[in-house]
Formats: sequence, structure tokens, C-alpha cells
Amino acid sequence: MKLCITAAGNDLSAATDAAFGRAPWFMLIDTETGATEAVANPSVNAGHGAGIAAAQLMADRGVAAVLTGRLGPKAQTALSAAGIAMHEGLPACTVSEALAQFKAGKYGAAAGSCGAAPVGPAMQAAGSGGQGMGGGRGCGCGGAGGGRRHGGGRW
Amino acid sequence: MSAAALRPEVIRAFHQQPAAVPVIGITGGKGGVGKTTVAANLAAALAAQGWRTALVDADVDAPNGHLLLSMTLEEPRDAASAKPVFHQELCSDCQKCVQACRMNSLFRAKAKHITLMGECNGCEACMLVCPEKGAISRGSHSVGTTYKSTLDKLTLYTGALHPGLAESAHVVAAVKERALAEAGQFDIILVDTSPGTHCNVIGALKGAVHVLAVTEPTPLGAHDLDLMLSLLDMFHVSRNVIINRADLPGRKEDIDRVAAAHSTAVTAALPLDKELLASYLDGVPVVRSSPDSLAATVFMDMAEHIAAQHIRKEGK
Repeated sequence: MKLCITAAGNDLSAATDAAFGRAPWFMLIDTETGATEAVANPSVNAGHGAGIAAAQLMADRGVAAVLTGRLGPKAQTALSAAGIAMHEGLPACTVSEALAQFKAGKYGAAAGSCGAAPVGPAMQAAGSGGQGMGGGRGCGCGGAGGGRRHGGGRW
Repeated sequence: MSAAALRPEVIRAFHQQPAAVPVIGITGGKGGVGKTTVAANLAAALAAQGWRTALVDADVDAPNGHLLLSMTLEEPRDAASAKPVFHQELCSDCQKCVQACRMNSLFRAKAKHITLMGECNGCEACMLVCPEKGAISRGSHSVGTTYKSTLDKLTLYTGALHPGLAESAHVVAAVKERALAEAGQFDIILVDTSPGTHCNVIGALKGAVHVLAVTEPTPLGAHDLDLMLSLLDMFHVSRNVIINRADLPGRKEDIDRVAAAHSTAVTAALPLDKELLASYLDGVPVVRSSPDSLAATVFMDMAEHIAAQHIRKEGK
């Protein structure tokens, strides 16, 4: 299964990054073979919709599960539509430590089904998607400043 | 700071006259400088002189011209913006639309399944780049409301963006279009812009034959006036400067210097006039509440000059 861990750098020893859409790097890891690929996030400084763009990158790369600090409502809607499992609560550690935790089952079943993903109630709020989500800038997926913090307590 | 020259076709497009009726812009750069005070009072003065006057409140994020005129917002009309509607059966899955969206709002969950997931500013880039006829059709979504309120010879058009939305430019365009569609009923149209020198200000001023740049004798007023006059330089717009609160113990020479640097005349100075302040608080234009005040005289004089220069006499 291909897992994405959001990271500040481009190898397994890099620090994790709690942001999804605005993480500098996506570490794509095959949990069976251990093969890793670092993908620079092209939307790290996007004016709008970094979460959706990141979700698109996940879908295009065949990622089955995402492990990150916090997902904004639009990213959740997009990942859910693509059937990608979502795991929040990534702590401040290295990518390899997070991977070990993931393999140990710390983030719940890594079944690749979005139903198993431990996401919060924000997902329902985002369910309608589409228009009128003017609050997007204020929500978790938006501000680079807020999103950078390792916001925890979710796990 | 020197700005890059605009392409001639951009300047030409800016100056396309939308109607036979003269459009005068009221702007200034700085917020709270008195743009709406000048716009409302100038409109009232023109109306008092017998001219059929339209005032367009194009500050759609915070429209409040009606408050200074004690008018209520009437005749609401929906302002809509385009949004894409995807037709999967005609999609060739090229994904050009997803790549073209600067808002990153289009999401392709799987082949040919494109969804509008985020905000849409109605730019229609997705429709432009789509090579398949009919795969994306033009839908619409409501982004704001325009209003029309009338008091004697003065008609106020107000644009109001729906709270929480970002598509203010469409509401600016909609409220101007509504006024311009009825331009034949007027001798002159005034457009009051939002503060700043951004797209919505440029959109509001588009087509104006002349612009009044309102400022105040403070460092902030001078700074923002410089920005505004730089913008008007770029678009080659005819303008003059009006100093509000002119007798503030401030730095009027700074304003004069900025205006001179942009070869712009300072043509009116509004005093810190008790009658003007009272009219502001009461929501009655000073030309009606205190016609003998110095401020009222300045506005009546301003109206006469503008009418003489811009209104064709047979219109009256």
C-alpha cells in the first residue's frame, strides 16, 4: 500500500510536517516493499486550494492512505471522493518514526478505505462541497501559519 | 517605484465608454478618507442642480452610501457569477481544466470525474481550455445582490457581496452594469469605489471619463494618494485631487507635492466643517441640511464644474 507522510524534508530522517496541503514534501512510502519517493509539493505556496491540489496529487500518484497532522474540510472531501484513507494526528518526529508508528497500528486500520479513517466532524460539514465555502481561508487547510503547527491531541 | 507600462490594448479597454452618459469615478486609495462623503454630497448637489444623477456604490464589501443619503436598499436583484458544470459523458479526461484552475478548486477523483470542490471566482478558464465541445457548460451561482433606490433626481445603485464569498469583482461589475443598462435615464453617473488600488477599484473606475481622488492632509493620505495617482497614471486617466479635512493641522504641502509629482491639480478643499460632520451623522447631504455652509458651497461649486465639463447641455 502506498502511504503518504507529510514532511519538512525529502528523506526518511526528515521531520514530519503537520500541514497537508502546505507541507513542503510528500514522502510516498510503499509499506510492503519500503520503497520511498519524495515529491516536492508544487502547491506549497498556492494562493488557494492547496488542500485540493495535494489531494489531486495523491489520487494521481495512486496513494492509498495519507498520514498528516490535520486535514482541512476540502482536502477531506477530495480524499474521500478518491477513496483515500485519512489519518490525522501526525506528531513532531521523523518520517521513519511516524512510519514505524503507522505500521504498529497507532493510527487505526490502514485498510485503504476512507471509512476507517479517524477524521473529525469537520468532514460532515464539508460534505456538501462545492460553493459557498467562503470560510475556506479560515479553516484548517488554509493558513500556512496555523497549519504548520503540530496540532495534536487528535490521537 | 516605477510601474511597468500597460499594453495599449489594456488602456484602450479601460477607456471604452460604456454609455453616452459621462461616468465620473470617486476614489482615493486610503480608507476612511471621505470618498463616500464626497460621492454622496456631490450626487446630491448635482441632483439639486437639476441633473438626473446616478450614484453607484461599488464598495461591495462594505456598501454604505445609502446611510449618508438616508436611503433604504430597494429593488434587490441577484448578482451571479459563472461556474463550470461538468458533463462526464463528453469528457476526454485531458485534465486541462484541473490544471488551468488557479483556485485549485477542480478535483478529479477518477477518470472523467471532475468536481468543483473549492471556491470558484467565475474566471471560466476551465471552459476556455476544454477541447471537448459541451463537456463543460456554464452554470451560475449567486455571489451578491444589487439594489436600486431613488430619491427625486438621485438614483443610488448599491452592490453587496454575500458575506463569506470572495467574488467581489463580479458584484462590482453587476452593480455597474445595472446602472449602465439604465444610463439613458441619467445625465451623469458617479461611481464610488472601495479603498485601495486593487482590481475592484480598477473595475469600478473602468470607463470613467474623469476621476476625483479624495485624500486628507496626513502622511497616510499622502502615501495612498501617491499609489492612487500612480494607478491613474498607468491607465492615463483624467483626474483631480480633492482634499478632505483640509484644515487639519497636518501636512497639506505633502499632498500638494504628491499631486504635483503626478501633474495633478488640487481643485477642492473641504474644511473640517461642523455642518458637514452633522450631515454625516444625520445621513443628510450637507447641500440639503446646511446649504449655506462652507462645505455645501464647495460641493455645489464642484457639481457646477463637473456638469459644465462633462454633461451635454441638451440632456437637461
